[in-house]
Amino acid sequence: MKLFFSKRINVIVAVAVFTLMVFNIYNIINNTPMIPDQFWAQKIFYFHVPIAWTGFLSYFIVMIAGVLYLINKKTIWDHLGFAAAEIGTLFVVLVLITGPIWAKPIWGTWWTWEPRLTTTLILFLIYVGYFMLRTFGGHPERTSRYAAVLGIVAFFDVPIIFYSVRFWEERYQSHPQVEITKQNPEIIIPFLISLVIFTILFSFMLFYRVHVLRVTFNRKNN
Amino acid sequence: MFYTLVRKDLLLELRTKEIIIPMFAFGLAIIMIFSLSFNASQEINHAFSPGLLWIIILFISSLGLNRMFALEKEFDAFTLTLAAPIDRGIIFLSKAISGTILLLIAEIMIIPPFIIFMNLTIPSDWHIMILILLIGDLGIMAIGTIVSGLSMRAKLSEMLLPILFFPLVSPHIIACVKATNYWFKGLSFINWQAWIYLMLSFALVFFLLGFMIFEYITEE
Amino acid sequence: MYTINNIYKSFFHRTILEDITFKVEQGDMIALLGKNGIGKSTLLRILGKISQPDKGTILYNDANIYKEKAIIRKGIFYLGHDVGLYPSLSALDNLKFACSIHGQRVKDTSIVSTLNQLGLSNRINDQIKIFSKGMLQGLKYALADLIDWEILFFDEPFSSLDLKGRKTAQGHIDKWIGNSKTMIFATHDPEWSLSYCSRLLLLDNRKLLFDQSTNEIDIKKIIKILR
Repeated sequence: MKLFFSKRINVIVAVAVFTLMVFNIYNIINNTPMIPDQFWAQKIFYFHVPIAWTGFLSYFIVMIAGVLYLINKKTIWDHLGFAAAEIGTLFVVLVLITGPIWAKPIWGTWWTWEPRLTTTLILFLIYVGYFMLRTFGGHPERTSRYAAVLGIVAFFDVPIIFYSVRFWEERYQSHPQVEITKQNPEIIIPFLISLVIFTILFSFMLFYRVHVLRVTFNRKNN
Repeated sequence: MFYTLVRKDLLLELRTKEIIIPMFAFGLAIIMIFSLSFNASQEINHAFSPGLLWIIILFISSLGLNRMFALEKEFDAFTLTLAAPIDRGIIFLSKAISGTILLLIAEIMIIPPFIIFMNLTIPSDWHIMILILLIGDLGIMAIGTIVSGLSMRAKLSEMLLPILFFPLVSPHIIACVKATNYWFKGLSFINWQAWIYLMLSFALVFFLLGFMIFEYITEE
Repeated sequence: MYTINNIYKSFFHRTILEDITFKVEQGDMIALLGKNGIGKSTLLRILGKISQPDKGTILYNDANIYKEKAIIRKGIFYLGHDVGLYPSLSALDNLKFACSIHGQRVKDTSIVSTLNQLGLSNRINDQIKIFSKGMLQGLKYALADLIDWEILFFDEPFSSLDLKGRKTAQGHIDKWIGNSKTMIFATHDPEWSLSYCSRLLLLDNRKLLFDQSTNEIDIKKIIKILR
C-alpha cells in the first residue's frame, strides 16, 4: 500500500509547508503594522485575501482539468478536477467565514452584498451543486464527464456574476483596503509572503489529495 | 434540421399541453400566495413587482425545463434524435429556442393577471418589456438547457436541476430585474442600457458554450 | 465500410466491453449473440453513437464518427430496444419527424401506405402511447422501410412480436437480405442467427469470443456458451 507519507521526500515537504505556515502566522501577528480603528480585526486581511485568491485559483484548475478531461479522457484529469473542487470549496468556505468575522468589527454588520463576497457565495452554491451532481449523476464514467462540463460552465459564469453584482448596488462599490498596490510596503510585503505561502500550502494539499484519489481508484479497480 | 427539431417540440406541446399550462398555473399560484401573504399597499407592490416577476419566471422555467426533458425520456424518444446525423450543438440550439418560445408564451399569459392582482400601473411602451422578456428568456434557456442536459439522467433530477440552475443564472436574473425596474420607473433606455448588454452577453456566452459543449452532455 | 477498433466500455468501474475489434463489409448480415446483460445493447449503442466508449475508434467509410461532423453519419440507422418515438405524437407525426431528421423527404402518402402494410391503417393519427408493444415494434420496421439506410443496427428485432408479427418482420428482413443490405442484429436466438445471418459475433465475458461466417460454426458450441 503506497502511503503518501512513507516517501521520505513527502514528509520533508509536509514539514516544510507546516513550518512556513507557522512562520506566516507569526509574521502576520508580529511584523505587520497595526491599523488605527481596526486593530486586530484587520489582520484577518492577510488570511482572507490569500485564501480567496487560492480558492479562485483552485476553481480555475477545475476548469482546466475539465477541458483536458473532455479532450483526452485520462482519469488523472478527473482526479485533479475533483481534488481542486474540494480544496477550492474548502477555501471558499473559509473566505465566507473570515469575511463576516472581519466585517463585523469594521463595517458593523456580519454580511453585505458586496461584489466579491456575493460572487464567492454564489460560487459556493454552484459547487454544492457540483458535488450533488457527482453523487447523484449516475455511473462514475458519466459523472466525471458531467462534472468537467459543470466546472467549465461555472468558470465562465464567474466574471459575469462579479460584474452584475458590482453594478447592482452602487453603495457596495468599495471594499475597505481594496487597492492593495496603493498600500505602503509594510503591508504589501507580509501580504505577498502570506499569498505565496498559502499558494504553496494549496499546491501541497492538491498534490496530496490527487495522490489519495489516484491510489484509491487503482485499489478499487485492480 | 433545426426547424424540424423546433417544430417537433412545439408540436409536442400542442398535443400534450404539458408545459405552458402548468407553467401558467404555477405562476398564478405564486402570484396568489404573494398577494395574500403580503397584502401590501400599491406603493410596495410597485417596488417589489420587478423582482417578484422574475422570481416567478425563474420558478416556472425550472418547471418547464423539467417537463421538456421529461418528454424526451418517455419511450426513450431522445435516442431517435441522438442517433440521427445531426450535430449535437444543433440539438442544443433547438431545445434552447423551443424553450424560449414556450416560456415567452407562458409569460405573456401570466402578465395580465400579474398586473391585475398586483394593482400595477405600467408605462405605455410595453413593447420594450417584451424585448426585455425575450432577451431574459434567451439567457435563462441557454443556461437552463445546459443544466437540464446534465441533470436529465440523474437520480432526483427534479431536485438537481434547480440546485444547479439557480446559482448559475443569478447574475442574469439580477440584470433582468434591474432592467425591468428601470423600465417600470419610466426611465429612458440610455440610463439602463448596461443591464441589457449584460443580459445579452450572458445569453451569448452560454449559447456559444452550450453549442460547443452539448456533445459531452448527451452521451451515456 | 464500418471499422470498429479496440472499444472499451465500463460502468461503475466494471468493464463490460474489452478490446472489441471487428470490421463490417458491405452486404454483411451479422448476428451479435450473447447472454442477457452481457453488453450487446451497450455495444450496439456505441456503434450507433448513442453511447461513448471509454477507449477506441469507429470508422464509417474511413471517417471517424467521433471526430467528424454529424453529416458523415448519414446512412447509419440505429433501432434501439426501447421504442425511440414520442408517445404523445401520432404514428404519422412520429414517422414524418424521424424521416426528416435522417435527412429524408418522405411524402405523407408513402408513410400512410407503409403503415397500411403493417395493418395500422386505422391508427395513423392516434397517439402511439395507446399502441400495443407489438404494434410499436412494427413501427420500427415501418421506419426502416421509409428511410434509405446503408447500415442498420437493430437491437432485438423480434421482441414483443407474436407469430404473425414475426412473420411480417421476417418478410422485411428477407427483403433487405435480398437487396444485399448491411445489418447487425443483436439477438439471443442462435437458431435464427444460423439460419439467416452470414456472420456471427459472440459476445461473452467482455470480449468477442468469435467472429466467423455462419457456415463454419458448430451450433452446439454456441448453445453451450450461451447457457
